[in-house]
Amino acid sequence: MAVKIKNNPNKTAHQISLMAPLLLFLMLSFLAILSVIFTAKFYRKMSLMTKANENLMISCDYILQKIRQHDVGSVSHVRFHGQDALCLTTPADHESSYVTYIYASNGKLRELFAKNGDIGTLPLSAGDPISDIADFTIEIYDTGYVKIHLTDSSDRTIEETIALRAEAVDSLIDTASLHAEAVETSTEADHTPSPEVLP
Amino acid sequence: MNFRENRSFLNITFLELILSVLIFSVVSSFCIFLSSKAYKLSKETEVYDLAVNKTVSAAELIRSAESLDDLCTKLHNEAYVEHPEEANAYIRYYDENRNPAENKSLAVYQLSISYSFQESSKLLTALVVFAPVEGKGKVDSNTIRDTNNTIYQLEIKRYLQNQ
Repeated sequence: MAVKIKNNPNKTAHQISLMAPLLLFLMLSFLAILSVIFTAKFYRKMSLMTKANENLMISCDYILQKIRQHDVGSVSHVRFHGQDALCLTTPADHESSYVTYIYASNGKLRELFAKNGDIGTLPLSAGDPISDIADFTIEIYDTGYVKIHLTDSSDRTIEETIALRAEAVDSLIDTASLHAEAVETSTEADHTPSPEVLP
Repeated sequence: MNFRENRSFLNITFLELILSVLIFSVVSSFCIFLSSKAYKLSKETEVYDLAVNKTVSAAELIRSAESLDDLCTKLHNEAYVEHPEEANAYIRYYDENRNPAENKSLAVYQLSISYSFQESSKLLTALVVFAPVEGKGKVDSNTIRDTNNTIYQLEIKRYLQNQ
């Protein structure tokens, strides 16, 4: 015995009217999620880019201000445990002086402030971390300017030229002799930085 | 009566659907527009930072010069080349990755230094300009670029004692 199934047009219309908003809701939700993901990706990329840029600029400005602070004092380039370091000397009295070393170590730009005779005994990790920097190099020209190069972990590089005052350039020679004396008097040869005041 | 009520209900539902799609489209396109605008601004800030950094570096180099010859030597040492179109001017090109470019065809930005010297007063006046190379390195925002197609510029006056 055959059973006849009748399509009820009212029922079909009712089903469609129920399905349509549901489908639309699903579609809108999907698009909303997609736009949120898209925006989040954009934001993340932007944030990383800005952070990397700021990191380099801030580190560069920090070093620039440090050089400016010691402009009339002494600015030189030394090797500290095999790393390029910017050496800023602050005379305390006739006998002693304090030095600030700025160098890159373990992905950080570090600053180490100590008495001139003691600094050679300190390890690289003793410096206070300033920012995330992969590499830091310095070139001091006897014609009166310093060039610094900073590289971050994503290989972005920034280069800055800083003019020194005449006093600072003249004092390069004094700083070299000061460090040479410090090396001669030091007994711990392994820990002593070998100062090389480069032209 | 029942049919009329049903039809009116369907019309309202349809209208609601259209409205919700419209509102969603407007709001999502506004969000995407905002994101792309922010991204563009971020890129332009990066270019502006580069311009400030390079211009200030060049200004420091000029500041360290003791004479005109000394300045020219320093500019040559720093890979600046003589400006092909202007006298008393030097130029240096940069690619899009901030690195110095060998020539103009590879460059996106250029840093030019033009100077004039008053021998009577020993006063050197230099103008350092960072700008995009023609047809390249477009910066759309008017906030960081003036009408002369310059991103950043500095005027330096230096008394040359040893001149």
